[in-house]
Amino acid sequence: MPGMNSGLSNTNPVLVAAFRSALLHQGLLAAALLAVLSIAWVSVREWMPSASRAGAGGQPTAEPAAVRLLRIGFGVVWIFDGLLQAQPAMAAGLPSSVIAPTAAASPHWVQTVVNWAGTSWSYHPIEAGAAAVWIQIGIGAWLIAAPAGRWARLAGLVSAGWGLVVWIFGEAFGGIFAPGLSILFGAPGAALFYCVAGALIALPERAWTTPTLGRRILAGTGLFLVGMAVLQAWPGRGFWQGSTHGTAGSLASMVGSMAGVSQPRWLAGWLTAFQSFDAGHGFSVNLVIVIVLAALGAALLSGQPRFIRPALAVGAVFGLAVWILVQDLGFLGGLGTDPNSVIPLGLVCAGGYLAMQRLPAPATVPAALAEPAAVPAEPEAAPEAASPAQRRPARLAGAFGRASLRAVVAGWAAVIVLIGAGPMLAAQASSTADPIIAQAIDGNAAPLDFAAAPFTLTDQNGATVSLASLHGKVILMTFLDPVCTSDCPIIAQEFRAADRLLGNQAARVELVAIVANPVYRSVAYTRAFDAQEQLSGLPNWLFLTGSLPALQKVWGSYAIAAQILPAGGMIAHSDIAYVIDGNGHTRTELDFDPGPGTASTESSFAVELSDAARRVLGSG
Amino acid sequence: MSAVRTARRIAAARIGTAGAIAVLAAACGSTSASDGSHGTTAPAPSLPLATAIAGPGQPGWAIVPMGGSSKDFENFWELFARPAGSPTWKLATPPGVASNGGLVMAASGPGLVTGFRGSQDLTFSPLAAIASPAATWSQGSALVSPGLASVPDALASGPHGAMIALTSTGQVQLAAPGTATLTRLTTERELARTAAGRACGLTALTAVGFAAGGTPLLAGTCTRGGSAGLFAWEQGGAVAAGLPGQAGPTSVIGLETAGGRTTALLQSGSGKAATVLAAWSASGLADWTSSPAVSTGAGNLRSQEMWTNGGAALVLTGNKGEAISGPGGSWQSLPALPAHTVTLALGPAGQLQALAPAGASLSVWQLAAGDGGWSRIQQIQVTVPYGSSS
Repeated sequence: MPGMNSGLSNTNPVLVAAFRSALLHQGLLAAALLAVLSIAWVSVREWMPSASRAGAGGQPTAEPAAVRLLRIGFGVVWIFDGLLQAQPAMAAGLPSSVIAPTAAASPHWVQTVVNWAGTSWSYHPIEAGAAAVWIQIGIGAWLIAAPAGRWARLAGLVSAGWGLVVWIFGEAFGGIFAPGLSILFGAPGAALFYCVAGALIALPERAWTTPTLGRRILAGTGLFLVGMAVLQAWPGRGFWQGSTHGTAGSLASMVGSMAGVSQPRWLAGWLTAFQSFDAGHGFSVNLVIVIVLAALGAALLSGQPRFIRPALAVGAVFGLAVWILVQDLGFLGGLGTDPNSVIPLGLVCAGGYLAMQRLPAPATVPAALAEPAAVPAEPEAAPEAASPAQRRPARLAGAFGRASLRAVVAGWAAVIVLIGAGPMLAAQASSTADPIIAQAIDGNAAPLDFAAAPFTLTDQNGATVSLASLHGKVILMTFLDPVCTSDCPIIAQEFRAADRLLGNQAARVELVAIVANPVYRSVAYTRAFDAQEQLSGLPNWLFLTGSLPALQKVWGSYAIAAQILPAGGMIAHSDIAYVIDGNGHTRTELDFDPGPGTASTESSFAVELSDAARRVLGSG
Repeated sequence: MSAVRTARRIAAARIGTAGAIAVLAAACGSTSASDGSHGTTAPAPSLPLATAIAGPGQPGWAIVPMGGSSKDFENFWELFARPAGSPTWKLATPPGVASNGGLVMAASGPGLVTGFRGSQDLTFSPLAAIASPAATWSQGSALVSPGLASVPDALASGPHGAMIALTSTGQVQLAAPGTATLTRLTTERELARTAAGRACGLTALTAVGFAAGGTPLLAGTCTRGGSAGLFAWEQGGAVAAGLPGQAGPTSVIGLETAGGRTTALLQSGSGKAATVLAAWSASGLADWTSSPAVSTGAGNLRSQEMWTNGGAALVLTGNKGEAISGPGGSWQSLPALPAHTVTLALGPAGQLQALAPAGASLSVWQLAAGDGGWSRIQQIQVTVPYGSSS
């Protein structure tokens, strides 16, 4: 998919170091925030009358067991996912190693949607990678800590919202539009269960006071399982065959690929054994799977606890088997981002069962105490003579002091989510890529300050151009082969993009390329290159050439090698850019090998180049 | 065999290498032809690019893909030359441009003009010329933009440095004698709208060349049976050159003029019934002589070769080959070709040679007289510039 990745190694040391540094800084910020909140909370509570702080914050709302299970269960899962997002290779690797393969088999429109997100991520891999970590850890902590009521419901909503983002952009709609859909492989996507659970948590308490909601949850799950059973039984999808003419069937093939990823040897052994078993008994294995799925679905649809209880027990065993033997625990090997769908599906089922069987006791706590944040400030806390404006801080302090510890932690977790989302949103607002991608490819720019070597050459219009004739302009200079097939067109586009980024300042900048081909160096070829790269109309673009001795002199002055390769190879030449100030002094040297030439690397190099030009413009 | 008379007679003229080099070395200021016909061009079809040109007593030239990589941009097309009188070949690929998009060549007397097809981000075709296998390449200002079509006869040189090119967008460009710039002549769609084009049901251009007198020739695919798409460009318009077609759609897949004789290779039929025949005109396109058709099957053609003596050869899949000696001859099935053979060439005394690349090695095999079988006479190791275009 175009633009889906930066083209860099997932373990590029520059990106990994920057990712770790961002996580460390944001982690320290989060810890400091927690410390400040804790100190403030304890301090406020010390100043408050003991009666008011005990009476307000200490009375929790009676929370339905199902909500508690979903809240804490998915909170743990989100934190686990957040920690997986902190893997060093995740910043550079998520678009290319996770998102793109997931979407590869989906229809074009799905790929277009997913590609947009993947490109956005690859433009700002550090911000996006760190954001995903903190958003998910924040949501998880929020869910776990949130006291029943408004805080928990809000956490559920945020969880559902972020789950939807992950399901659409990270899981390509869970692959539901791709061929080969199977519950065994994670359909309809783990994040969809996160959305469902978040939505359930966000429901008001009254929804849980009867068994109806629980029955509906189980019935919905049952319907889903029956549908998956039909899909599993559908002929022609490769699940009935273990192996045909040496070609593995769908299940054996998937298990085989999972067995090949990096993981503990014992686990790989289990997977390999199951793959062999399925290859030899594909029909029987699929028959069992279809029957179990259909039976589970029917039991959940029945709404009868005497069917549902054993079904849940069987489902737990079956799910565990699928999780281990097919999904490989979901996160091992490659860049795992979550434990896959079995765990969240199991949590939703368990939540449904609890909602049906264990109804919350009637509330004995006054409604006014159920949600501490909504409790009005006690009248004696505010001085009678104070104005409303003066009373507001006192009321806030009072509410803060009366808040439970869980509410304070939940508030902190919500801020952590914002700490993650803020930089990500800011990065999305920028249409240019982070210059760190260019630095990850070629290293940092080298500051210099010496007189640039003079030259006198011919531009694409046949006019003579010398370094002296460009006095007063900042020169962005590089060396290009007009018949180059790969790097030079990319570099030319990076120069063009840098010119756009400079905006009005471009009028004070000259973009200069000098021919780096000893054979094809006529003006006709520089013109053809300009036309090819749509540079002909750029007023400050100069593509200079000259006699071979004149060019060789310039190449020597600027440390450019232009070597003729044998047997059909293009000219090998240095990819370097120089920034020369208006007084003819070389101020910056940039290694300008464009790397893979993806959309994000091109944009990143353009930003690096325009930044270098601005620095010289600013210092001049 | 059949003979067809046309109303036109085109005088023969000598094709000069010096003229072609003069075009390429022309002064700065020559510009590429721009495609001023947006919406009126169509992509030219693709034919195998591997080919060889030679004649008895003349130098031989052959284009061969090398590298053996699964990545297209890691396979480089190499030009090999055989000096006149020598049985051995040497690497002669022009320097300075990546050849991974393919090479196209046009004989120019004892010399050659070579065009690089665009590849990766290169969209135009640089040209180079050489006077003989012993000379050095000359690169001037001429180029073809948009890039050359993916057919072996996308480029031809004519008398006094005239040159004609077929681009990947179906545009025909011409550098008239004495001029240094290839300029737009016509397009496939424009040609299809002419009376001659309509008469044959032209759907694609597949080759360009010059008649013996220097008249530009444009060849293509006709959908109407009985017509062969060969047109002479005279007085600013295209006229049918009188080449007879076969029943059903017919494509001209090769076009060569040498020694006052124009040779065309015609492919017709489909599926297993696909055939190829050769046709010759030594009378300025007035009369044509056709060979019997040889059955090739569709999609089996790996390369076609046309020699200056009027002979031609076909390399087919399955190590099969067919050759014809010239007018009056008939197609002869060759002994099983050596493995990996991509093109057939002529040795110094007219012996058949098979060029078979494998990775970075080219084997040259020669067919002994009297069906004595193929024997390897040379092996050339090529430094394939892997990674240079990645």
